[in-house]
Amino acid sequence: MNGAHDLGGTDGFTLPQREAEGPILKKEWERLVWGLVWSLRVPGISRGGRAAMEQSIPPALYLSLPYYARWLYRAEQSVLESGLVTVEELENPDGPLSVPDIPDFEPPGPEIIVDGFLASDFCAELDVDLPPQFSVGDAVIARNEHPVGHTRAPRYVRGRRGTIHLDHGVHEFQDQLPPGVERKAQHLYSVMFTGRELWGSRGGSKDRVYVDLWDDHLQAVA
Amino acid sequence: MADDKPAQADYDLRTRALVSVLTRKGLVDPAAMDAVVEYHERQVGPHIGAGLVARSWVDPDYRRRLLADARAVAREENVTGFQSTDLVAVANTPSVHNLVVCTLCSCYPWSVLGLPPTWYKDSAYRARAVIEPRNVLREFGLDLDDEVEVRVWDSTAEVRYLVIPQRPPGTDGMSVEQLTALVTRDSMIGAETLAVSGQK
Repeated sequence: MNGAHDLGGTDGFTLPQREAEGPILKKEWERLVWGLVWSLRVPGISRGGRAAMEQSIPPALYLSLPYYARWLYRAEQSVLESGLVTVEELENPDGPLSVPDIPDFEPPGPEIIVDGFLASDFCAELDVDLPPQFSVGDAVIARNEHPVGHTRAPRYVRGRRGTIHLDHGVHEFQDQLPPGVERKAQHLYSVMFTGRELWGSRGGSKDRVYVDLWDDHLQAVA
Repeated sequence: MADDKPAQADYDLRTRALVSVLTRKGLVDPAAMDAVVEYHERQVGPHIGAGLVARSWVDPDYRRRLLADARAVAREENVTGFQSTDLVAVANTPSVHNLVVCTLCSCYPWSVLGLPPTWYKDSAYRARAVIEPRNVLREFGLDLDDEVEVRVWDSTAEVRYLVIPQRPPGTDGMSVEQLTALVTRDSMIGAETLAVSGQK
């Protein structure tokens, strides 16, 4: 979707100062939110983090929220939409609570969340033998598509001509697909675009932007 | 609460309410929450990436393997993790400068750098790094020569990028441990180059 999260090339923002190295989670609520979003792996509400999170926040709100407040908003939305928690319960957290309808549910502990997930040797490249549609060096065009669902093809590359720089192997396609369309694994590439191709005369003649795109995002140059 | 009311809400109160309700309902294990923060604050961090970089400066074979297949090298050293096992290393040289961004979100190589700094997640950085990387770098204090090629890596998939900065001058004879201490977080994102302290 053409959401506010798709920021590449947007003008008008003021760059912050780079902060010194040190703790990233600075406030207690930020630590709680971060711990919560990764521990909240309850059947029915643990959805793909980025895809679900970015596109469900209204654009004006998205741009106004600090980073961890976006996670908080999304966590609230998830548990409310799934019916596990009600607005009344969040407004009166010490009051009476309904019992969630998940028989025999045990919340996952540290060994499942950290050792088994966050720190695991999880590899996105799939061990699947599929022929690539493109080879390194091929000229390609990023398809000019504007799907209503989540897509990993940023607006600024659509319709632009690039060159296959690396083949990352076979990955799960991450775009949201229309109902009934089967998700198929496919090759993922690093595609090089020149600054001039992306930004016209404003693009630097020695600037290159490399974007990770899947087979279905690309078409061959005729 | 979860409506469209902008920013002024009390994040602290909202967070406590959410955590309290989910904990009381038995949907979240507070020990898991603590462990997540502990993992991201203490176990992973830029010291891990710095170790890989420093070794690449002193061991040409290691550098060659790191640039060819960073994932394999990281796995040998048990540097893995959700959304950062698929690692690609890119090297700065006198003629090429690399910069990493995620324009759609804030994807970042957690396993080698820990959680991303605030500036990396800022809308301004995400918006501008791809269209005017040299201006961004200049505002960050790095004025690149016009002849240097700038390569911006937009992390739009599950692959994560680690910049191998150039080894600073005047560091001949230093141990890997001493070199590791010179490597900054921001240099491994491409936001700065390295100088020995006192130079620059």
